[in-house]
Amino acid sequence: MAVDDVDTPEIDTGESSEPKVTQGTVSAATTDQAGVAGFVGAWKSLATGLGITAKHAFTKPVTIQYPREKAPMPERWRGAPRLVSAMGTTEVPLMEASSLEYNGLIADAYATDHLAPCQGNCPANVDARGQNYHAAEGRWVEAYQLVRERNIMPGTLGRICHHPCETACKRNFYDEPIAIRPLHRVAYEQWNPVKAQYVKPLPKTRGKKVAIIGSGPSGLAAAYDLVKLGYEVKIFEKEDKPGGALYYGIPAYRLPRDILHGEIDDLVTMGVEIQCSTKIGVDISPEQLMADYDAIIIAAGLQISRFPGVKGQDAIGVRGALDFLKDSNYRGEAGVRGQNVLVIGGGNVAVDAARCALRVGAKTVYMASLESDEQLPAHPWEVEEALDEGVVMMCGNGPNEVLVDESNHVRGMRLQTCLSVFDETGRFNPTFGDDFTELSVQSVVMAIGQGSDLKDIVAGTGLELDQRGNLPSDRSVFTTAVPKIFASGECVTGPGSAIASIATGHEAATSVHRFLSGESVSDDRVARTLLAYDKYAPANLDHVEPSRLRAVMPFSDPDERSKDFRNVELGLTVEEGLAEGARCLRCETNICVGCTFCARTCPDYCITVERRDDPGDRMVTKYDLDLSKCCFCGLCAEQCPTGALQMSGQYELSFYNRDLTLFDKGEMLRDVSGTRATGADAAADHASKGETT
Amino acid sequence: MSTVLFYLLAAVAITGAIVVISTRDVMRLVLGLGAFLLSVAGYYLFYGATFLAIAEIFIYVGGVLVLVVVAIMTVHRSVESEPVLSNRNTFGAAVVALALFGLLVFGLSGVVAPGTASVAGAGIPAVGDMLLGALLPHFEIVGGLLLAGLVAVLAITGGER
Amino acid sequence: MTGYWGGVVWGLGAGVLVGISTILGVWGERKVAGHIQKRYGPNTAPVFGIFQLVYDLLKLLTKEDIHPKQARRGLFNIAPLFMTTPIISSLVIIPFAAGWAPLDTSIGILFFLAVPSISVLGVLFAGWSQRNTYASLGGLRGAAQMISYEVPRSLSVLAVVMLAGTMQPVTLMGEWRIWWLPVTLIAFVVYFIASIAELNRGPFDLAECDSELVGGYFTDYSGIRWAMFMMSEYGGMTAAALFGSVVFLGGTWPLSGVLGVLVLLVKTVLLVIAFMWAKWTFPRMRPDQLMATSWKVLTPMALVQIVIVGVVIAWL
Repeated sequence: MAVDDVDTPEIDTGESSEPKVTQGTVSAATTDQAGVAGFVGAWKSLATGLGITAKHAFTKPVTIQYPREKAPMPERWRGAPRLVSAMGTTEVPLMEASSLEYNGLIADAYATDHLAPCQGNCPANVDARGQNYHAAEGRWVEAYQLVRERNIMPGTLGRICHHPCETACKRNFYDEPIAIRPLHRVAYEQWNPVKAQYVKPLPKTRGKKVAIIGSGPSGLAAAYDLVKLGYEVKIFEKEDKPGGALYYGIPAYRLPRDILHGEIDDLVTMGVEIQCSTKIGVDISPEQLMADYDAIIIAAGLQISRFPGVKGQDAIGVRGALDFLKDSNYRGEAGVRGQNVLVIGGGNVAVDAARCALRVGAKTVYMASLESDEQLPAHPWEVEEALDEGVVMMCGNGPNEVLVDESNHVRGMRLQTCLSVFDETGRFNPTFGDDFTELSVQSVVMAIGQGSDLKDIVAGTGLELDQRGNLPSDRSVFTTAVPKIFASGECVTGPGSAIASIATGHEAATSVHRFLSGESVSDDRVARTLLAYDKYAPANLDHVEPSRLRAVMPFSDPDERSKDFRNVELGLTVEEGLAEGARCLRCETNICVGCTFCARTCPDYCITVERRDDPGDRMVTKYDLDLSKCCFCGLCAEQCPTGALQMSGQYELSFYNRDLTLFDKGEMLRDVSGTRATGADAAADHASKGETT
Repeated sequence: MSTVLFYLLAAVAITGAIVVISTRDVMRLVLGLGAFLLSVAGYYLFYGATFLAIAEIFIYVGGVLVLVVVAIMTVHRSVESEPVLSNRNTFGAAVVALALFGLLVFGLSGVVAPGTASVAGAGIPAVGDMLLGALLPHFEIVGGLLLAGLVAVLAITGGER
Repeated sequence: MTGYWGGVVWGLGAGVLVGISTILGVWGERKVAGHIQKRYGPNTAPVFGIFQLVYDLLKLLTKEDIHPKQARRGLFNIAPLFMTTPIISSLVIIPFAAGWAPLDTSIGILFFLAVPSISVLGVLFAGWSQRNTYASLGGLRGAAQMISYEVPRSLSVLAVVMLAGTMQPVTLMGEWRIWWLPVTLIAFVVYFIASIAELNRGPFDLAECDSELVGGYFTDYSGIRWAMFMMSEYGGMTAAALFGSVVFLGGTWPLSGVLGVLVLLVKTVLLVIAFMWAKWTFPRMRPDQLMATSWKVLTPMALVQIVIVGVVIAWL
């Protein structure tokens, strides 16, 4: 990329004054540079040019190699199948409400069994089902806006979210989950060029001012809600650019900065005011804030890396992960070029630090974690990407001592095997074995945890920190000991995900609104419906037709991408997005989507489903249950993803306690051949996946 | 085979010549001339005078003909209508052509008579010896004449610049 | 009698050779250009992207042969032939093996210099017949450039002819000695540069510069006729490289027989790569620079070389 500056040799101008760029022979002969000097100079510059190109030819090219060529849509593609239900309902209900009523909406949907698992498992309850519905019909702007109401920055979250929605997706059980997170990204990419006509300043009607400390996901979410309600909101950020942990913590290869700041700019256009490079307690005193604003939300996040407390950890070359990430992300240089780097820790921050270390030029990067490789707290897909890029994992090793040389520089690290991390009561209490490993490293990055640093912020406000430096606060309504001060985000909940922080931001905003309009903060308030969905075992994909599989996210080449901060995920095409949206089963809508899984499940072959599957029009044309064969097992209703098939309680096995039935859902689904299900699975899917796999 | 080749060359040469004198379309004329010159070179090859054939191609096809085309292209713009030859001095031209033809026939009849064509034996060494030996003065005079012509052209066309 | 049939067979063979060199040349060019620009070049087609050529060839062959409405049909149709035929026939005097050339004639070197000059006519006819401004300009530029560069090119070859005392390529290759290489180095450089210009290739591709003249003299050509222009370019490059390695680099030296043929091939391929290297290194020249290079730089250099060779011969 920027190699040209490095390897362009100086063209010798000792005897000629011709411009440096001139490479043609004749320039010297035809211009004022006549004579022998010009002649020799011209030949010299010719040789120089040839030398440069020869050098280029023998260096390895730096282009991105796309791992998979995308198959274009066939000419007959006229849009994804649009669902026309036989049951009389065509519209998928969208979950739209302001944050004030959203919890109630979710609780009602849950109580009536109308809550899609993707939505239930999301901390912010993003309506992924609605997004997929819009996506399948190509309404990307609507999809974006629907998602933005809850996760405020779909483009950003579409790249970094740990997608609990996909974990809970019912499709996990049939084949592969819907690519909900990549669809956020596709929607953003379609929205971005046209957003100017949708992003407009919102009126400030309430006349009250709210200050938010910290412009991370939680602060931005609270600000967005409050701006929508008509408050005047000002965010104070101590760094020079907004984004908080999204900006200085998440590496650019996962989240390009223009996308993050583009979406923050949208919020600013809507009326959120952000003041950067302002540290509370230094540039503005907390008392000042208390006096100037009607309410304050502390969303400062976590700023300091915890250290394990081993011998030698104050040596030169030992750093906290947050500082390390900040250096590598801000400047692309962290002083580890050519060194061996050891990252201590097994969480996502540790993985980010390790992958960043590779990108800023580290020779070998080791990652040591207490947990064994199955128990790593980091997300498995991130660990996999890190391994692809060449990070050396040393799971089950705890730090013992940092080895230093005479000048107090790190020269190595001694690791001790870890036998167990938690004790019987489930508390963190590692026990170590007797095996020691010594690694020769020049840099150690501690990524074992982060803590908050709120001393400056609370000084003079009347708030007290506990002995560990945390701010005591309510974890469901996010109030603190001082009425007008609220707190949200990771400084309350501890290390977590971006989407969880956003969820707390919404709650804090609701609390602020209730406080400022004189209501009780917690009375008759519907709490968040916090649901826990079981993890699905991986489905058996042996007989699954390719059209049913999830769109494959292309990745850049691991060997190449580990050298710079290029994008790792390359994104889905619009066509793949349309097809992916059409894969959604519209869970719990009570609308039959013609998935034909009931016919495939029926052990007695008594269900006949006929489906028309034309582009732009997909509907069930015939649904037949042969009662002479039916054994009333109820398996069809059991598996029906949408809840369109329901048990009436009128048949003889209906009293049977279904919880005790042992059957393997994976086993009970059969290949479509031989069943009475007709209709191809979304013909469009075939096209976009190329069928070549 | 050789007879067939001979008549083939003859046919091409005569066709080319007829095209040259009959057409009014300059580009067709150039093509005819090219065909004629190439078939003459073919004749030289046919009689084993490789050097002459190459020289014919080098000078006439690669030089003179190209010059003609370049001249046409610089005078006419190809996007406009077809350049057409028009000559108001048909009679004078006929006289000059006939006189030239007579001169050639008269001058060369003694040297090249049917059946006496024996250029093959000469070869390059002989040509070289001749040009740089006995005929050196003539050769140099012709060279000087050409140079004078070139300088004159420069003086007439671009001298003032 | 056998001579004629030999000629026919050899003509077909040379045509195939030119075709193959075109296909491989296009692939090689894209690879060389790619690597110089830090890209990969064609790499998704099977076998390092070589199959890209097959695709391209099929595409070219099945493409519609478009005749512009205003073009002069006859001339338009035959102009590409004027480009390819001389190149193919010029291959006839190349000694492909030690002591053997398809046409072993005493003035082979003159033949090689003279016959390709017919392709100037092809450039002019093509430029004229399309009847658009780009093509005419390209044609004129191409002709002027090709005629000018014939001078230094011929003069540079003359140096080696003087040393060898013969114009017969087969004999010349047999006579070739390794010490000729340093002595005729200037001539070799002049020959190399002049050959690039003769072929209308970058940095001397003013006749077809696609950024200004949209392809120059083959602006309106498509399909197989366009492919013939490409054939003349890449075939010409191969021919120039073959001739250059025979005359200046000793052809099959130091081996003979089949291995000698291989040596010649390697030298040729290296020269062809050098042609491409130059094209992708230097920016295109201005017309005045182009002419000045020929008359003020290359021709004097070639003359100096002739003097040097003369001195060497006298000293021997």
